[in-house]
Amino acid sequence: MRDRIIAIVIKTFSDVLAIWLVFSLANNSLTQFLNAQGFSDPKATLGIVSAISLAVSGLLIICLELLFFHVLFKPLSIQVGFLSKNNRSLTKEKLKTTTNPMDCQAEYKLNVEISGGNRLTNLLLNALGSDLVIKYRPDAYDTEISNGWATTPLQNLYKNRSGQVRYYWTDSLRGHTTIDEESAIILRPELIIKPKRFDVHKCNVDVNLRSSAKRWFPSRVVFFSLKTFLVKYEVKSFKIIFE
Amino acid sequence: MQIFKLFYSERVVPELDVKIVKGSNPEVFGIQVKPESYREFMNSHYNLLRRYRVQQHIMSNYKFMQLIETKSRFGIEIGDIKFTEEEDLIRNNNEIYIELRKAISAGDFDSLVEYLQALDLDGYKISRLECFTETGERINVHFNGTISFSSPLKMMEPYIRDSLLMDYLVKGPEVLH
Repeated sequence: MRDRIIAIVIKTFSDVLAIWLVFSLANNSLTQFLNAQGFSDPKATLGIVSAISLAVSGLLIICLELLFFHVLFKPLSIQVGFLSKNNRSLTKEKLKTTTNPMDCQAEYKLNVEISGGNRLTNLLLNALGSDLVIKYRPDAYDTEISNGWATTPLQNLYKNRSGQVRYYWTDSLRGHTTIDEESAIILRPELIIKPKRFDVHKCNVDVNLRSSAKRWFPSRVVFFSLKTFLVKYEVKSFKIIFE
Repeated sequence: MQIFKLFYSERVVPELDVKIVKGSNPEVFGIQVKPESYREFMNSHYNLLRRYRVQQHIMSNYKFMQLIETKSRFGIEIGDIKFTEEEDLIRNNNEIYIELRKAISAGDFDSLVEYLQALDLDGYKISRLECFTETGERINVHFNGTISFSSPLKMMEPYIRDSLLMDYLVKGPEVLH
């Protein structure tokens, strides 16, 4: 859906550019050239000018896209997964409450691998700021970070008002040029999850890429608009099963 | 032994038909619970807890160690430290654990912290911290987010409120500034 909206916005921009080109080319050398070629009918001339304008505007947009998002900027790749305390890959975690339900809590690590990008992209993303939002069911579970208090707003890992943890990750890009896959930046924040409602048996933990809540509104809007071009984001799912 | 599960809420503490102990920070409170009926308690109160955006306090090794290192701020002395893997540590005659026990007995605080850090690095989890207040009252901090004490609540309330212990456990070092 998001890709479709972006495609529509680009197409609209391209069409507006084409209309502007039609009007700016209507009374100039191109029209004279067409007249000299025997296109004396003004409607035919306008039709040809329109077709050329559409082609030129489309080409311009493609060239600009190539220039900005393939030459000047290079997408950063972020892969998010989940690990156990012993760095074993996790897709699901079973919480057992055979003894005391108060003692039931699980620890896991978020595994964030960052590669790609270039100096300009990393600089821009670092300036705009971004958070990974760890989404789970706050009505059924509570969460905390292992090495600190998530209620302390000065840390990179912090809880928002709805109880979901946000991880401010873009400062890890500071000073980096292109990051090879072999030397990818690996971030592994540790989290604790604890049920508070014992009649819910499954909890899907999802991670979304968002603009940083630490940044001011215009930065957040710019990040939201550009994130599709600047970041290739991939997340593996994680499920907690309560037994 | 009275057990209080610690919570925090951004709103006013909800009214419940159980004993509540409050910290000096209005967002922090403890609800008296019985482990055997905890499941039923949480399932029956979750609507209320959700409405008040109440979140439970979750304890970690990190918080235990920070509390131990700043114990003087809360007027407590360390009585004992228990681990989830206590039986394994004893059965295997874990050297660091033996040295830790000696440090606790001798009141050697620096060594205690050092051995505790080593056991934490090895992946052992603290399950209970037993402390004594300056007046000799025992207060236990448990890894499941509860505190417990055997003295009457009326006797403990002033300490809990004034010492910031409960606020520190739930909200972190910011309450000390």
